[in-house]
Amino acid sequence: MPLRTIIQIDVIGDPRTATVAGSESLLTTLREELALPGAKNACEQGECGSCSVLLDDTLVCSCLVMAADCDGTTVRTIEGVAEDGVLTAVQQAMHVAGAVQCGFCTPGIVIAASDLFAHDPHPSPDTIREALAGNICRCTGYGAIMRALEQVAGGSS
Amino acid sequence: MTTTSTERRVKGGVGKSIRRADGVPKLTGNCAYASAPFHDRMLWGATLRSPYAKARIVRLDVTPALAMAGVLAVLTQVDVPG
Repeated sequence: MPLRTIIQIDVIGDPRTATVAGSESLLTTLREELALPGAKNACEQGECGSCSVLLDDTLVCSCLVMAADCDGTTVRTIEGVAEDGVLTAVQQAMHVAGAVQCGFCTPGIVIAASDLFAHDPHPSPDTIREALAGNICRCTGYGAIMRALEQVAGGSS
Repeated sequence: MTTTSTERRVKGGVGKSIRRADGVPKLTGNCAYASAPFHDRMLWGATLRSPYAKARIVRLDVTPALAMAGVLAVLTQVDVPG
């Protein structure tokens, strides 16, 4: 049997305990142990960004983080972005702009964009592109995503 | 002067900017994809594929696989005719 470790993490405001295998990724723990499938599993090698979460307020690909290293951390997933069911400005703008197609990249885009706007409320288009460089949309819906985020960047906040 | 404008009376979707019905679930991580559901005591499946591009199955002994701990079933072409 592989080594298993008990970790305690704070996920979107809820203290959670999980028993994780030695090599298990944080993404696997979130999706399969904690029943939070919002972060998506696509490339499993940190290329696509669909598994993006905030780990202690740092944007990470949860597929590249070992769950056993997350004991005592705070993890924010897409499930915790909209508070009380109210869409954030990023989510609302993406909804209106038609920036959601198949939706597989969407949680990662929302997390990455939210992280950007938390640090820079009015980023330039180039800064937005740079912030999303790690998020691949295979519907290639980048135009609508950019329009949505540029609108957020230009708005008052 | 009374004029009657020919207003567009669009009641369907043509010409309108429609919000996708599944937009909000996808934006909040609550859209149920086929890969998402996990249930207690859910069974996992695996496929054993032939290492040969073209070959005939002469013999298939599933006994060792069935004897492994945790294996509940092994399905072969006998179970899936056609």
